[in-house]
Amino acid sequence: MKRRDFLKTAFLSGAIASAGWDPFRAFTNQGRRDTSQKILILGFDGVDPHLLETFIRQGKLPAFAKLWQEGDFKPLGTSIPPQSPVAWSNFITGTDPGGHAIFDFIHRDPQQYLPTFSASKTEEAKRTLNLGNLVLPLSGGEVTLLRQGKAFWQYLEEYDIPATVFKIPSNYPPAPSKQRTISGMGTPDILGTYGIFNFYTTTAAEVQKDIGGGRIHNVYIIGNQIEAKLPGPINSFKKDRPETFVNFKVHIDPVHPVVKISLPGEEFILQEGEWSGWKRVEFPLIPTQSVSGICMFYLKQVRPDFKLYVSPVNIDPANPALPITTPSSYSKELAEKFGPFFTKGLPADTSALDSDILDEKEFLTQDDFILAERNAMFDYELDRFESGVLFYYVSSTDQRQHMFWRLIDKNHPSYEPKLAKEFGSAIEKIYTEVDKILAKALAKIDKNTTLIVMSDHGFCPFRYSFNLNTWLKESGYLSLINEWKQGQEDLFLNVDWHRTKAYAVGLNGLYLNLKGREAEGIVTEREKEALMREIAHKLESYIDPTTGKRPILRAYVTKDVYHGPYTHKAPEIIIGYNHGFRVSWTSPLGGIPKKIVEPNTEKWSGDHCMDPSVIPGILMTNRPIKHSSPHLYDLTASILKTYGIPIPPTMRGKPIF
Amino acid sequence: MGKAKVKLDKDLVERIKKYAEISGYSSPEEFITHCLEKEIAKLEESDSEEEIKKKLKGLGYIS
Amino acid sequence: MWAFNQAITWLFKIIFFPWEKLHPWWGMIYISLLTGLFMLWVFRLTSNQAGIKEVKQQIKAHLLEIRLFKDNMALTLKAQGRILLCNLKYISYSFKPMLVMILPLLLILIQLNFRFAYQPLAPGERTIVKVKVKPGFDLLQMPISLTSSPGIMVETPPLRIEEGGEIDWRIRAVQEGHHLLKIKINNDQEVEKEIFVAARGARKLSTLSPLRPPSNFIPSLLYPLEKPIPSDLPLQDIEVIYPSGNFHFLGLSLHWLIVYFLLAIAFGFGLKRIVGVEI
Repeated sequence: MKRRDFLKTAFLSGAIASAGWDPFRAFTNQGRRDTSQKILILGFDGVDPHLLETFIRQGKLPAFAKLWQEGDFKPLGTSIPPQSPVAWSNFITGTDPGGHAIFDFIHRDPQQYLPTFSASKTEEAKRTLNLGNLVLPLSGGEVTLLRQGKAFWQYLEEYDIPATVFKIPSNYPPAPSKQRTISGMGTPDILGTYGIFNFYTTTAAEVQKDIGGGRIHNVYIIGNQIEAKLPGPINSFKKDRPETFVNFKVHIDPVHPVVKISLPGEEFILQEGEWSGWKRVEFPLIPTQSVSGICMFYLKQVRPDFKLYVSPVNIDPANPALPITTPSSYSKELAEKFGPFFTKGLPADTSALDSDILDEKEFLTQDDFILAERNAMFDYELDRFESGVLFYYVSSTDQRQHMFWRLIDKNHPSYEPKLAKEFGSAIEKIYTEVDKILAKALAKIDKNTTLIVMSDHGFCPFRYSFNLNTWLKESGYLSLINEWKQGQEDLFLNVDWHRTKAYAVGLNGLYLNLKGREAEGIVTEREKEALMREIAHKLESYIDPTTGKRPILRAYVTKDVYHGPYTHKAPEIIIGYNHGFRVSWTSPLGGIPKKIVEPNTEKWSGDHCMDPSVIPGILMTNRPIKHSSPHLYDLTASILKTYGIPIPPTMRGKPIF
Repeated sequence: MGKAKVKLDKDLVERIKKYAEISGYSSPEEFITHCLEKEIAKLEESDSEEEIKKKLKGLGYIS
Repeated sequence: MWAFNQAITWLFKIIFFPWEKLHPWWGMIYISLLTGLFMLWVFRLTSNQAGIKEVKQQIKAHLLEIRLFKDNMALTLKAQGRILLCNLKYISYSFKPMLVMILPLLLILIQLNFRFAYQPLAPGERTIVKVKVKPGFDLLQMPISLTSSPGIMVETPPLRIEEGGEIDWRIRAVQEGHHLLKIKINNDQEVEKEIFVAARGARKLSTLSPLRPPSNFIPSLLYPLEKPIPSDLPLQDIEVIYPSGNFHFLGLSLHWLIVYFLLAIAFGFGLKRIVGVEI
């Protein structure tokens, strides 16, 4: 470069910087087609048609009422089983699980009889170089989306139709696309888990508790100061794979309930009962390499016992350690605009509420943060929505119904009148919040915009839990190694596979112990069909002696109900639980307690992992729905039809308009 | 492959020698290696089980 | 000392006056250009220009010697030795201008730090105010309070950290503008600290003083923007933590010192022929 050119460039760079130019932004908006027809889809997870109608009739949801009056409202057929990852995959691909291979939150490895994540698979670098205790990757590790089938925005892309898909579940890591997408449910925290919070306390009794989804740390106050560690991901650069962590200090005022938390590079002050907002933490791996995460601190109590909650560490959208958006600059763009934001799939910390680490009020405060972020980002996306498709997703509707159903259902084993008085309106409030989002959408759309408001499933009480593996054992399909050990082990550790014909993994799945497929399978191909039918029949006929009810409404033999190339990978049977019943807490991970049916005394009290007929979702649109009983996959076909894209034969859905 | 020496109690070594011969191992070293590998495999397995539980337990639907 | 600090600060206010309404990049380019020219000027005045020219020519000659007689080991080694000597000579010639430049550069850097290292607080943003108390005072017994003009909200009671003699408060910026924090000690003594709030949108060049220093020489030289705390007060210094003001260029976040030196050196080299300086 000549000197003059160099000077010119230097000046130009300065000018660009002063104008706020961002080199990434220039590439995110491709020159794509302007469409006359637009589709705005609001995906409100778990909104229930009965509740919705009740609130509308009570005049609490003016925007929904308006849309119903001007358009149409029908229950929306959900997936078998009606779990969010399965249901949203039906919508994404326009197929049923036979076409997208997501059958449950949890699948299993037939060789080890161990549960696995159904959504994605993470593999570390295959080729590495060992230098002493260092392991240097020579090839990149890989995260794979396990959902199969083509997403509707990928079809749109082929026809040059722009789409923004915001936090749709079952899309982590995001399917390759030039469209703007950010992953939602299924996106792990920085540890690669569904989310693990940390709780620091001086109360010894709390440290003894074994809780799912959280770690409790015993801390000591020495000279009004606490030293603690925030655990991070495993350091795969080291041979012994140690856990990484960030050290932090807490300085406590000797009198006032106020503390200063010192993280490397940042300090902040919290009073008792305050949240910190997002804080960035860097977990060091080796010199030059670290992993960036974001988390929130909540000072629950200073005295007499010290209690500090730290949210699961989310992937930092400004510097994502794992792929969460397409194009990769999209998360950075949002982070620049809004600062750090929740990236973990299901952001609300239901585990912390369930294990009494956060109380109802604290949980709702956290959920309000989530909602405020979603609202701000919705305004941003809605504002620039000029063409093609915008899909926007809200998770709080689902999470609040899970946690607060016990306070609207007097027959629930966890009903508490006092709490009901204070927090019984939490579910209604979230319905009114999404009504406000809908109102904004109604104000924005023009006559060329199709508005679709949808949910993936509805909700109902979860009063009794059904130990499916215990039922299998009692019915002679599953045998134990040590009878006396029943109820003490999970992950099938006490199962005698040589005498076991069937086992249940996940929330609705039941597998046969097939010879040739399972490591120690005993059921032959010849026996399979009859055995499936026999178990399904027995399950449907089972009556719980204590309640006098049938816990299971339908047991679906998957090959009868699934279509598509992945049907053979499905569990043999999917259980459709009756209203009020769900699989137990321990059965999904291979636990076999002694009783078949137990009351559910947890705070997690509403659910949808029942029979699809019990909990349909909602479909409300500004156009008449021609289909008499629309299903999730019909919406996918309708999107393609709107743009004149031929509906592929692999797609199960039919257009609803 | 490098080798490392490990100190064991004399009585234990005698017992190892005795049982290695009874069980048909070609040498006490082979017997020790086999035992240790079996134990380590167990630990590694339980490690991965712990890892699985940790990964899945944040999912609110299970405990 | 305070009068000297005030004079220097005024001088820099005048220097930066034309760029005050613009993004700090403009001020940075401008001051780097001025620094480059200043360095060239000092070099021309104080260095042995003829000597530098000669020694550079000698180095060139020895380099040529090495290339021409590359087969003659003895000659090559001798030439390399001579190059080394010439280099030492060259460094010794630059020593004087370096010495002359070091003090003014230090003063420049101190002033630039308050213009480029920090960003003002944005409305709604929270930060910490730290007061360091002189050794020997009992923090718990000391009546101390923090108040502010309406643009700033004090959100917490004092947090006393005995180790290090520190008292912290959390404040929240409410309104844009220059505000004053007031620290009251022992009910009768009061000391103030400046604080500046501006919207984050279009960043402008602004002068920020993160610390009000004690009246000792070095701290008041390093923090010249605010009058040192009177020595009869039990306080050592008062600090407001401002967000960092790194420069962003092609996706990189760069410390202002790196940007400044790179630009100043680039300008220096770029302009040396025009100014007619041998370096």
